[in-house]
Amino acid sequence: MNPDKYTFTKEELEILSRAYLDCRLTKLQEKELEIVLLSCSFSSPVIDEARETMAASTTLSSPAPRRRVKPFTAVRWMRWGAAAACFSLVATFAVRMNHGAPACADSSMAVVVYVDGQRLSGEQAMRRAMETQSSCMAMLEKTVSSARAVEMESMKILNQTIE
Amino acid sequence: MKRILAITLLLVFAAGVCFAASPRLACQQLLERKDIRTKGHDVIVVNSPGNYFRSVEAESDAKLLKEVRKAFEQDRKLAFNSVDRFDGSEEQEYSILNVKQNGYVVNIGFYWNDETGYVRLFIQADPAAFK
Repeated sequence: MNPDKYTFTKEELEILSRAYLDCRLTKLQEKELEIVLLSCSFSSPVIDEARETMAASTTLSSPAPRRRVKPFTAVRWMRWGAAAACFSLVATFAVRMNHGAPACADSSMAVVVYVDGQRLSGEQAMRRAMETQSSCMAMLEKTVSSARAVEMESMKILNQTIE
Repeated sequence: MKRILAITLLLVFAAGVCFAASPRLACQQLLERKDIRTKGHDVIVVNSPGNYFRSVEAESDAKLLKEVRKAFEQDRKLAFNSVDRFDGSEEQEYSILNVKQNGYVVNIGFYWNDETGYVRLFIQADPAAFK
């Protein structure tokens, strides 16, 4: 069957269409018949059914449109870089917000006190916090000032010895 | 493949940024731990304008003492000034560190007694030092 050499009659095309529908044609013959049916104007129930089946099978067998793979160009790298920069900025902001000193929403004092695993509240907590901080800062002052005093004394003795 | 590689690189980069964005003191981290608010420990947090103070004190806790010492020695590397003192009458040892953070001086105090297991750690600075 060569569509270029033959001119088919309607009856011949009906026979071939039936053979097509019964799957009795080879792949090559099927393709040739497809070309013939597309280029001729004959119409009959069998020929039209064959045309419809061909259209359906062509649609089913046609490969899925291939995804265009974009080359990883400098522009794409720049886009990724910009995304990374934005992400890191957001991450840094989030980390900075979550860490560090607890937020002191208003200008008042926020106090949290736990004694033996029990949380104190109100005046009791405030008193305890103030006492502890005062005692710590006093110890700090005492430690630093006594160290300075010893250092000064040592330097004085050193200078006297040199003289 | 390239996309997976890019995403991986992005995640690694973000993790690095998160890690680098929090140069926090070891003592501060220890004091912020919720598990130190247990029996035998006194935990104080004061946050007011111009003053941020945190402390933990235990009369006898060798485990906490060990942890505090480790954190304190880590922060010592960052300190621009330190004072160490032993008080023979009280048999207590005192160490003070001054660390500069965000342009503010952070005071870290550590008092302890190895025999009794007494430990007190505190940190004090302007709240802006921790932001």
